[in-house]
Amino acid sequence: MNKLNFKKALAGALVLLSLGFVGCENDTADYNPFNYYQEIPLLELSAEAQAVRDYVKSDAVIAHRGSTFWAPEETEAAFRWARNMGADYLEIDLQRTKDGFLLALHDNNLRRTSNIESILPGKEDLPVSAFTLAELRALDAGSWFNVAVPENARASFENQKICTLEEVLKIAQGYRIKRDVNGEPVKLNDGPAWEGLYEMEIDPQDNGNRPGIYAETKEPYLFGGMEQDLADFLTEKGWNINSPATLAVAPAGDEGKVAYTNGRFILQSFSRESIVKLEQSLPGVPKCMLLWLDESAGYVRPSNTLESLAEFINFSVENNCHIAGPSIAGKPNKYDDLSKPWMNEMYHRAGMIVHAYSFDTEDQLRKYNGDYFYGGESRFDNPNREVSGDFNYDVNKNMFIDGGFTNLTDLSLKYYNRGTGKTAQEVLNELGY
Amino acid sequence: MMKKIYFTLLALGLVVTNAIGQENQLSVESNKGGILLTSSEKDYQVKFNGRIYMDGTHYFDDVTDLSSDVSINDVRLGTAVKWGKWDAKINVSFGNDELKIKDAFLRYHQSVNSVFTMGNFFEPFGIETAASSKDLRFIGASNTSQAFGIGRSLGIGYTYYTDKLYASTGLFAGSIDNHNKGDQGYSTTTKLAYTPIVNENVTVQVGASFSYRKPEANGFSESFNDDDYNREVLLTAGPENKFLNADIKGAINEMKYNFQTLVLSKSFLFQGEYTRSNVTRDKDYVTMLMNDGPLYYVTYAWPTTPQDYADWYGEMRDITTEAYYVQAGFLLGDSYSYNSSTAYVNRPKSGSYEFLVRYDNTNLNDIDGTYFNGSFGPADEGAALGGAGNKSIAGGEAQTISAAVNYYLSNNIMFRLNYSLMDVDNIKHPLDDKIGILNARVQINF
Repeated sequence: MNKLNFKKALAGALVLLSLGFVGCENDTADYNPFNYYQEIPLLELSAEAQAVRDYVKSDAVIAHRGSTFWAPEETEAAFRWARNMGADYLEIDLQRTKDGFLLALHDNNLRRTSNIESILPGKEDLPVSAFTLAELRALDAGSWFNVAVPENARASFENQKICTLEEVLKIAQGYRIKRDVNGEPVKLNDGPAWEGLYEMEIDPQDNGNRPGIYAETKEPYLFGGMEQDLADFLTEKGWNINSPATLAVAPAGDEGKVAYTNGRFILQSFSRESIVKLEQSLPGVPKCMLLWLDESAGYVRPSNTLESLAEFINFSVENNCHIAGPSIAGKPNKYDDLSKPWMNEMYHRAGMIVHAYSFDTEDQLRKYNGDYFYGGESRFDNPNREVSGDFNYDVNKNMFIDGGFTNLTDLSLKYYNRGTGKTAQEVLNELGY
Repeated sequence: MMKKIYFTLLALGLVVTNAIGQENQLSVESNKGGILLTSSEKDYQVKFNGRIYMDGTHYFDDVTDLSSDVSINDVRLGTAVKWGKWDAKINVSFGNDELKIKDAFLRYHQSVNSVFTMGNFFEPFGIETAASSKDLRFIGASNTSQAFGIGRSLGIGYTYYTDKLYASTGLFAGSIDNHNKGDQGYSTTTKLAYTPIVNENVTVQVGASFSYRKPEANGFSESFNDDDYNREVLLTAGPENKFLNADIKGAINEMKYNFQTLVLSKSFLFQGEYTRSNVTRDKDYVTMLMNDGPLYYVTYAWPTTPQDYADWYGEMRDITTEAYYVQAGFLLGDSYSYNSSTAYVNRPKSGSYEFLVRYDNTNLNDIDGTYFNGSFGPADEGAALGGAGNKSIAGGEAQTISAAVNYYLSNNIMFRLNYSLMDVDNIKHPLDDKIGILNARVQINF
C-alpha cells in the first residue's frame, strides 16, 4: 500500500459513486391517493354488520330536512310534502328541549328558522335545550321561509310549527297535525300545564307512501344522554327494531313499505363520540358516519386526506357504521368533495354503502351516479350501460354512490325513473298549502 | 450581545498581533497539506485551513418523497493564529449558499494539557457531536447524535486531559444562530472520559457527559410580556428531518445524559453511545386564565381554575426520549490510534481503507394517550372522543443499519461511501416503512 495508483483510485471512486445512479429504477410510486387508495389497509364490516347494512333500501331517496327548497325545513309542511312526493326517508336533525322532548331542528339556535327575535328577544342565540317545548311552540317556524325563498313562498307556511320527533314518526305513517277551523293546531291536554303537544289525525291527503326516518344526532356535549333517550323513545313508539315486543306492525296494505321494514330508522352523526354511544344504545340499527373536510382531528383532514379517510373508515367499521355519508361538490352549497371515485371505492372496500349529501341539481345526480363515465347515460335508463372513454380506472359501480340526501325529492325521483310524475307544486297544492 | 464582544476581542487581537508580527520574520512551511507560517521564535504561528465536501445522495424512498441530490454540502475557510500560550481560530462555512460561523474562539493554554476556551466551540458532550464532521467515521453523524447532539455554542470552557483521563466542562449562552427576541438560553455541559487501558495493542475508553440546558427563547409574547412562554426543544434526525422529528413546546429546561465507549484494538474499532433527554415542560395557566377569563357555555362556565386548561388540553408532563448506536470498524493499512487531547481516534494514514457497520436505534416517542387523525387524546377513549387533548410527543422511531467504506487517499483527501437502511415508524407517515439512503462524499480538508 505504499505507492498510490491515482488512476485506479479515481476509477474506483467513480464506480462507487455511480452505483447510486445505476442501481435505481423507479422504486416506489409517487405518494398521492391515486396510487395508494387501493392498498391502504382497511378493515371490513363483519357479516352481521353487512346484514344490517342490507336492511337499507338500495338507491334510497332521502328527503334532506323534508325539503329546504319547497317548504320551510323540518316543519310539518316539509315532511308531508316529502312523504307525498315519494321519498324513501325523511331526514331530520335531532335536538332535545329543556323538558326532554325530542325535536327535529337543524341550527344551534332559533335565529334563522323562527321569529324568536320578536317573541323572546335576547334569547335568539340560545340553543333548543334552553327552552321548554311549550315555549318553542309559541314560535312561527314558517314565515322566515317566505322571506328567504320568496319564489316558493306560500301564505299557508305562516305559523308552521317546530316539529317533534313523534310528529315526524306519525307523518311518516300517514298522519298530520289536527288543526281547528282557523288552521291553528289543536293542543293535546290543553290547560295551564300544557306540555306543548298537539293532537294528530289521519291525513286525508295521505297518498300511502310510508317513508322511514333518517335521524342525525349532534355532539353529546350539547345533548347529554340523547342516544339512550332516543332508544327509549323509539322503543316506546314502536320504531326500535331491537324491541320486537313494541315494534309497530304494518297495517294491511303497508307491508314492505320502508316504515315497516328493518331499515325503518337510520342513525347518522358527524360526532364520533355520538357514534360510539349510538352503537351502545341502538346496536344492530343501520348507522351512517357523516364525513366533512376540515383541518382538525374531528373531520377528514385536507392536508392528509388518504390516511385521514382510512382512519375514519376504520373507526366506522370498528363501531359498525354501515353507511358512509360524504359531502359532494357543486352549487349551491359548494361543499368539499368527499365522494370522489377513489374515495367511494374505499368506502365500498370496507363493506359500507354510500349516501352522499346533499343533492340540488341534476348535474350532481348524474355526476355522482357515474353517468359521465358512461357517455351521459344513467343506469336507471340503461342498467347495461357501457363505459365510454379511457379513464385509467377500472370503472365500476363501487366508484359511485348508493343513495343521496336530496333537497329536491321530486328531481331525484325523476332521475331514478320513479315517482308519481307530479310536480312539487302540485303535491303542495294537493296537501292544501 | 456576547457574539459581538467575542468578535471585537478577536479582531483587536489580530490587529495587535499584526503590528507585532510585522517586526518578526515568518517562515512558511507545509504542515499536513496546509500552509503554516511560523515566526523565528516559534511563538507566533498562522495557519490557513479549508474544507470542501462534495456530496451525492440518493434516496430509495418509500411513500413520502425525498429529494436525491448532488451538492457542495460544505465549503469552509478559516485561519488559526497562535501567540505563545494564546491561540485563536476562526472558521466560516459557505455550504449550500448559507453563511455560518463555525469555530470562532480564543484559547489559553495554561499548559500542554490544560486549556481555557472562549467563543463559539463544541460543547463537550458525547463523541460524535463534540467532534468535527471531517473526523467522523460515517458521512454525517448517526441519528442518535443528530437528534440529541449539541454541537457548537457560545461560551467558556475548560479542558484537562492526560493519557488516561479527559475532562471538559463549559458554561454556554446559547447558539450563535439564534436571533429571536427574548433572553437567550444557556447551558452547562461536562464530559468525562476515562481510558484505563491505553497502549499499542488495545485502548478502552468509557465516558459520560451531562448537560443542563435552558432552551432558547422563541420571541416575546406581547400579551404576556414574557419570553418563557414558548421555548422549545427540537429533536430531529434522518433524511430531511421527516421521520424523526419531535417538537417539544413549552420547554422549561432540558437535561441530557450521554454514555460513551470506545474500544480500539489494532485494526479494529468499536464505538457506542447512549443518549437520553428529559425535557421539563410548563405552561403559565394562571396568566392564561387571567387573560382569557371564563366563557359561558349555556349551562356552565369554563375555565374556572388554571388546572382546567391542563385537564382539557392535556398535562404538560416531562418528556423523556432516548437513542443509542453501536458501530464496528476495520482498518486496512493502518492501526487505530487514540488521541488523548480529543478523546477520540486519529485520522488513519494515507492509503488506508476503512470498513464500518453501524446499528442505530432512535426513539423520539413519549406517548401516553390515544391517537386519531392527527391528534392525541387522553388514554381513556371516552374522554378522547369528548374532545379532550393530550400532550404526547410522537417524534417517531427508527432503527437504522449502515455500512461505510472510507478511502484515505492522503492527509487531505478522502472518499466516502455509505449505505443505510432505515426502518421507520412514525404516526405522521404511516405508509412509510423502509427507506434506503446511498451517499457518497469527496472530502477535502487542509
